[in-house]
Amino acid sequence: MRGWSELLLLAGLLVAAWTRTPVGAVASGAVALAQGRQAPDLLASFRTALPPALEQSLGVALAAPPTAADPLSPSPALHTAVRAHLGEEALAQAIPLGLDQDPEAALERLALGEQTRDRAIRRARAAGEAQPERLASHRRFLAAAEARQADRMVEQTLALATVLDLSWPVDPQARVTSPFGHRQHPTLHTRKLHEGVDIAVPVGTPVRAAAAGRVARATEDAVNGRYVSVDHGHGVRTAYCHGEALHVERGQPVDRGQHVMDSGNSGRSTGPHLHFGLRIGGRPVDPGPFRGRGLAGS
Amino acid sequence: MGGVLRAVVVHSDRAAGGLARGLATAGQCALVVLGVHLAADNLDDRVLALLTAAQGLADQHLAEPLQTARAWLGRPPGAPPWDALPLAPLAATAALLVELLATALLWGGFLLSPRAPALDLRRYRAALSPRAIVLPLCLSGVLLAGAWSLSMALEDLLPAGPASRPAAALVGLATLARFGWPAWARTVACLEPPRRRAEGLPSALVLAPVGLLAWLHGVPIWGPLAALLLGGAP
Repeated sequence: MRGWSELLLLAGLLVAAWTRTPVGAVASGAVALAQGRQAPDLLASFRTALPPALEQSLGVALAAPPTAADPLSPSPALHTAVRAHLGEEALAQAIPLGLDQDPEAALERLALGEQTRDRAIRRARAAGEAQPERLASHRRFLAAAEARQADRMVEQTLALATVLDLSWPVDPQARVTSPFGHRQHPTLHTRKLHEGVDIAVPVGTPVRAAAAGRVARATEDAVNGRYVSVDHGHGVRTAYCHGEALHVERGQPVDRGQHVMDSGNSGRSTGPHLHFGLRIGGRPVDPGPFRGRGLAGS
Repeated sequence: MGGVLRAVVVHSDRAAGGLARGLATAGQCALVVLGVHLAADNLDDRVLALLTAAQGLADQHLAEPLQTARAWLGRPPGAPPWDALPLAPLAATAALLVELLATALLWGGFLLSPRAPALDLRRYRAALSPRAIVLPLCLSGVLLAGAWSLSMALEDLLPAGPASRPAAALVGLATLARFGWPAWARTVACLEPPRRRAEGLPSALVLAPVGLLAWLHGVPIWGPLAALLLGGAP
């Protein structure tokens, strides 16, 4: 049966190359175009992490009042995120899987099952990856559909939990002078999307990181003035603009509530204020709903 | 009746073998495609990290001069143009271009050559050039990565059990023996003596990162090797 084995091997190779690679997508795209169908996406076979699309779940999470059990749970934001993004049943299943001890592993077990996760970890370990237990290290060893499932159930839920845990960078009583959304720009006099909120605070007011993370940018330009951008992981970033003095450097880890900047009036600004911006997966999101969550570090 | 059945099996097996041998080059091409993609999938991450670092550097060193230049030209200030760049799709596109180019170069190594003569060390020495050094090293990594990629795809399809892993490993090894080794031998044996010393340098520059990433991330030996040398669980 050697001939049949060789033919099966060849068929397997051709099918794998056709279905799992961009070269196969080029070939199948040519066939699809010849048949008048839509060509497949050439970049689809790259396992680049998908940007989180959380608007709907964020709305659900912010609208729902916390249940009686939430304040007692070790990580209320995480529980709310799982409930809003994956549902009540998923939360009940994830807690025994270790959601409060290692959220990433628990959510991955829930999304893919123990065997699939173990298989990917084993492959990552064989390839010599550092920290093979982390999803970022073994994600590449999952099948493409499994990797997308992990993105949706693990990465997006953790992004939502990160967002829900954000606090306000200055005194929540400080007045918001310009909310998020389209507005007539005060200096350019054109209608533009205001990608954050403006908070009236005197020059020199301490500005605190809304959550723990790493400083992605601590720099100055003519628009934002002196500003700090903090990467909180899972595609969540906050920005603090128009500062007087920066107290952190690029790459520095920061704790929730850490004094990162003194507010000021630098850059394109008509008066002393803090511009507080929030981005999820690169898209600007209104940070306004997090105002009631207290001053970071208090 | 038994004789007829045996004859059918023998003849069909012979026909299947003949077809597989006739299409062996297609199998070699497919193995290269799988291996290069595994490397390019890792290249994508590297390019993204590089672009992010470049964006940070541009912020630090170019943002201010750019705003000054805008002010001189009487243009309104604005966010620097690299601020809105979609880095992830850019990185994936760059990796895709490298992947297609590397695949074409590796296919060319054996598709444009006549049927393989036997491997000969003296002949290889005479053909020594940047391409002759990089091509076999890159191709070996790519073929190993391709075989591992196929065996992982098979393991994903098989029902979980004690036999799935050895079966997938066996298929990977058989692929290497049946398609990988002939492709490598055919490529190396057909290297021609270079007309210029630096001949093949541009192609070597494309193939080197692909080969390096294939060796680093596409060959399942580094974990067991580290465990063997440094101790710990393999």
